[in-house]
Amino acid sequence: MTTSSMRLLRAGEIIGMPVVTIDGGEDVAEVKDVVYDGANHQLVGFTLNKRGWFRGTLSDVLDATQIAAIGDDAVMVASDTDVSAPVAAADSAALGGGGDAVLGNSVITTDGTVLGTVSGVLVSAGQRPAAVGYEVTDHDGAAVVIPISAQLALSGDNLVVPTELTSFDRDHLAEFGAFVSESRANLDEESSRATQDEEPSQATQEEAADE
Amino acid sequence: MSETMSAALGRRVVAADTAEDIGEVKAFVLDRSGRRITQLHVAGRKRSPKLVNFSDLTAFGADAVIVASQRAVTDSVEERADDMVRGHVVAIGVRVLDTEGFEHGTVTDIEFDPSDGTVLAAVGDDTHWPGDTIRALGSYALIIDAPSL
Repeated sequence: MTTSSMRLLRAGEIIGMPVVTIDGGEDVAEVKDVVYDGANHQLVGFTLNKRGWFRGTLSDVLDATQIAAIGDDAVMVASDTDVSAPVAAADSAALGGGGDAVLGNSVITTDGTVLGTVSGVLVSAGQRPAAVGYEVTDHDGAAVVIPISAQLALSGDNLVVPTELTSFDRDHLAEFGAFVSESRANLDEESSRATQDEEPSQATQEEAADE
Repeated sequence: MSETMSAALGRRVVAADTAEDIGEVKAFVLDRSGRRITQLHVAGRKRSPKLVNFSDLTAFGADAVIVASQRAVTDSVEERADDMVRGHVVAIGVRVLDTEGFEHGTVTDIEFDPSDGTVLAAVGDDTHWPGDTIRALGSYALIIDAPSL
């Protein structure tokens, strides 16, 4: 199976992007900050600013599930009614704000080696946007990317990662994107297989009924 | 047969029943889908425009646009027409954005069917986008389907 490389964006690059409706071509807001659930390593959504000269904070937020796609130039939503969903996770916090912060956490391996600090969150662009990795910068300023997985633990002070974790050069994000694409495709395949196992085919059901 | 907006702007508009000049094509009003011209701004200023429905045209000639009747001219302006006449929403010059969030330049012209106002294509510097790929025209962008890979 071949898997194409996934496009990735640093969460900070999304800040300031217009939020545009597909059914109207209107820029209904712009991204103020990224709301992130550190405990579950999930992108929750975006807080928003108004557009135009008299911009100010909007009370509306954009839930990640309502996003049609994230491109290089805009965050796309189907219509303006999608820009009103409440932020679901109580533990989530704006990346640029306080709360259960992610940025600045010390990254420590399970054998006790400090790799550096979290300097960014990587988000997959396109449809189904999701947080897929953390950018980690060491004391010398060198940076690597580590994939988000269930093995990570985050406290707000520290991010503990498995010692055997594969990291990627920050300057070679395409390689990391391909890794994430492949992981996601494998997960989708496993999920599909599990669903098939749970639901016996019609033929099997008929055979069982005959018996 | 097709027409372009840039060529049609400034064209005389004449009433068929009275043979009087009504005005000239000053602006086009497109619906929100961006796929159809619904009205023409033919006279009056932007704040008090006079419009004709595209369906009231009997001919979109090379030299003149013919309106069935002088009575077809209306000064009743709905919100969409107001936005387009005043230039809050423009067809020529608007950025092109696809459904995946990528920009593709700006619209330099619009090709349309003069018989019914259907938009046949949006034209860019090096390309054009067929009318059936257009999703919406708003104040920020003309939305098109993302190119298939």
